[in-house]
Amino acid sequence: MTDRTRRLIFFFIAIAAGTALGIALGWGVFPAKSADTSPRTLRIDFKTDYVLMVAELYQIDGDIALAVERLSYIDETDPVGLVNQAVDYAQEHTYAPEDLQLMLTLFSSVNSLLAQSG
Amino acid sequence: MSQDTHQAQTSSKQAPKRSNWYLLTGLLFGLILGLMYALVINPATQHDAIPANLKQANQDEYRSIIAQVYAATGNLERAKLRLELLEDQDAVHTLGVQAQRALANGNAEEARALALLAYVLQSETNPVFSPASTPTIQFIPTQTLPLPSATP
Repeated sequence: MTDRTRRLIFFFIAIAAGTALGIALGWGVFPAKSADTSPRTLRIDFKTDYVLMVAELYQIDGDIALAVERLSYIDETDPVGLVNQAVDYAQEHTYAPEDLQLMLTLFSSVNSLLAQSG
Repeated sequence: MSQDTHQAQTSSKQAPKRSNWYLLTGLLFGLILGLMYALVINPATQHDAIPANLKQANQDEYRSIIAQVYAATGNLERAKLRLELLEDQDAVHTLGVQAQRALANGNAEEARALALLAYVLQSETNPVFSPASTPTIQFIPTQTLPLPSATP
């Protein structure tokens, strides 16, 4: 192996090491831009509470289409999955039975609506 | 030929000693590439944000839902706990301003809910303005809402 080849190899190894270090710094050390956070990145307990709020409003107005629109605030693509996730979290953390019932009712209605339209 | 002369001649035939600056250059170049990728191309997304971290527009939507739920259920304690998550400096003022904006945009129901919650919260902090009756009163927001008076 010539000296030039060896230097080239070490040069690329240095680039790779630098890249790895840059990625580690960018992902691990520098904080994410917290002022530009979307609702999708909310912690699961806040998402669950939001779903509960939508469920509370749905109980009053009975408008499932509006409920789905409200759920799109957090997840536009999978409202059923979002409500399902919220119900699971609520069950694991022993939410009040009435709150759980509201979310289960919402889940059932959203599921039916999307099954009909899908 | 003496040994010293031989060594001198041998040394002069050897390649000049090269520096290793190329390693540092490679490392710096890689570091810039890595940082660009991690911060611009594929930044880390957090999954543990709190409502106070949301963009302003999203915070407004969140606040609006809180107000609408309060208008529907009358559960003030829960509304207050939820509003605290937004970490507004002055929740009453923020609700009032948002209510005015909603009214200006033609969202009367939303404006009504926001104004109602602002009114009830203000009534709590300023007992002179006692609430009329139950939280689900028909409250018609005016164009200019009463702002909390500054404490002298």
